[in-house]
Amino acid sequence: MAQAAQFSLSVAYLRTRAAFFIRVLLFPALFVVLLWSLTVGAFDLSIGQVAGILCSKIGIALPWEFTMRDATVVLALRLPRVLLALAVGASLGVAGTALQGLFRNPLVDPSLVGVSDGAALGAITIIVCGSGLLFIPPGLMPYAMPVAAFAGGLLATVISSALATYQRRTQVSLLLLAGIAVKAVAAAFSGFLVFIASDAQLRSITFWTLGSVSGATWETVMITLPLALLPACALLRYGTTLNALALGENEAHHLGINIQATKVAVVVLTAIVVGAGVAACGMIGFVGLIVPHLLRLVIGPDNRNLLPGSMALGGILLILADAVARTIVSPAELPIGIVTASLGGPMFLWLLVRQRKENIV
Amino acid sequence: MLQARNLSFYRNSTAVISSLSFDITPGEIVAVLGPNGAGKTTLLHLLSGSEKPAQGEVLLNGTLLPNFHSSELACLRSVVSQKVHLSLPYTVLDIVLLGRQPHNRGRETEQDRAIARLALGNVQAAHLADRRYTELSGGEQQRVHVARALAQIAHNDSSVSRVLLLDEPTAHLDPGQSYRLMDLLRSLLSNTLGMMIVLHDVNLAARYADRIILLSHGRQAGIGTPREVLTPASVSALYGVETAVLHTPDGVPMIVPLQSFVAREEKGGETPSAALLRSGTESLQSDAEHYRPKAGSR
Repeated sequence: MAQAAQFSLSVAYLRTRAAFFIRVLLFPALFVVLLWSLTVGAFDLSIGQVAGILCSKIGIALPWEFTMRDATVVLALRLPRVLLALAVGASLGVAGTALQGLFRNPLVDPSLVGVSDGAALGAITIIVCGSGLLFIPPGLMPYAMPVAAFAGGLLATVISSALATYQRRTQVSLLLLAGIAVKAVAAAFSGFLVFIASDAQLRSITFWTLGSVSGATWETVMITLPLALLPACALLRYGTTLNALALGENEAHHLGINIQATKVAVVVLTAIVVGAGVAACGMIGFVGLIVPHLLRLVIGPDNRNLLPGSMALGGILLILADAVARTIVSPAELPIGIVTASLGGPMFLWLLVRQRKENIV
Repeated sequence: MLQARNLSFYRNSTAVISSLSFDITPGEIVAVLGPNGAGKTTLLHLLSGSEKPAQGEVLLNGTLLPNFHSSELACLRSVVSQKVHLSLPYTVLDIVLLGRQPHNRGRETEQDRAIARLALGNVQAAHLADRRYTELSGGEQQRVHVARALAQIAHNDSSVSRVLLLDEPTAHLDPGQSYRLMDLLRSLLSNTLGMMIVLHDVNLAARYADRIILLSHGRQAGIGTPREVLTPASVSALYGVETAVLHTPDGVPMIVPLQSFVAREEKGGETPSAALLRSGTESLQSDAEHYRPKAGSR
């Protein structure tokens, strides 16, 4: 009996250690994937060359040779889009984990509270009415779209949260339903705008809806990186609270946790994250759904490991998806949303079938 | 230890709890009995601090509940609910360690793990530590939550009294598991730990509680030891069913319902549903009548 207790102690101990190890290991992996993805594209470079280019920028000379053209391609074209993919993927991963924790449901996606549809409505409004009805000068159009998308996303979240809050208490199940309703209304408006749009506008709407990081410039990166990653980092602090919330709101309250503050913080932070992501590169589905799922299978449901882990894994997945998107039909490019959906959909089905057997959903 | 003073609580301007006053002292189990909607769960929420009373106050070790910091309060009182639904595959040890959160704010030490294992041992669930919570039986799950609640209020300072509040912990358990859980709870009592348990099963309360509070429409309809409180009159009035109180060989009151459905029918006041049932069971009736004299003659 004493021996059995000793043994089970070591099993639990090893498992916590392993989860911690994997979570830490994911970050170097993210770095390697980031470097590797800089080497692929219309023409190939070696990892050494890429490292040489990056180091020359900060004044360190490495022995690998590269041309000026190589340097321009890496620094001006590939690095911004890879960084954008990293920021958006990482923050979507964290947002997905946090929302799944908040809703106590592993099938929740960051788009659930209506953020992405609100953001889409904002962007589509600018595409269709921007230069005509709203008199936005052409020079401001590249800024107006992300701003409108971001505002639309936040507005949708504010509406659905306000609908779900009664007597200063937010009901999570009501938030889910309100999100669905807000989504439907936003989609109806978007549909109407699509209906009146010209052919050229339709094409840019379609492309935007499918999602892409190809438009990345250093400017977008500089705006999106802090806007997506700072709230994502703030979400990392909620691991302990979300673990307690897994027991239910009453139980978490009895453990001394301020439930209402947690709900508001998590919803607002994820809305900013998703809004920033959608504003920068359109609708990218499945990352926020798949990442927490995959990770939970490996390191268990502890949100303290899951949140940082899903940050790294989200970045890795979206960088890889972008690498696929720009090489598979080279020299043309696939929208990244198609890649994430076509990989994420089947993967999700596989997970569901697997979990149906184990009965752990 | 835990004092309720003149508690009242309203929902949509109807009184759910009206001027309740009582104490819970360390080393005793106080059971709360009452029909559905009598305000038992609301009372538990008021005592745990999740709801604020409209009037009156709750004191724990002499301090008003609102004056506690939330994590400070969590270290002194813990709550076990009817049933906790978990959709994620946490292990049993993970769940019990959640109880240590108010003490460690998510940074577990070896001491927390030791306390969690000790708490699991206390509820005879040490062997379940590495199992997934979702795979356990209802009785095992409930024991795990008791262990979590115990780990939550475990403390180095043994001079401070703690209170454990349980809301129908046996609601989803079969009789055997219910008795085992109540036995277990009794064994956990100490001179610094008292419990309040909301119960539906009068006989469970009679056997295991030191004192019983009868709650009817939010009012206190009686308080005292099971023998004092559980009289045929009080129980009949409380649940609206005629009852008799028997006594077990060891002197514990045992409540049995008296007036059955058949008895009411024989009195002549036939209900429509009784007539409906009778029309379908005419052929069974003769068997029943045939059986009755035999049973009587024995």
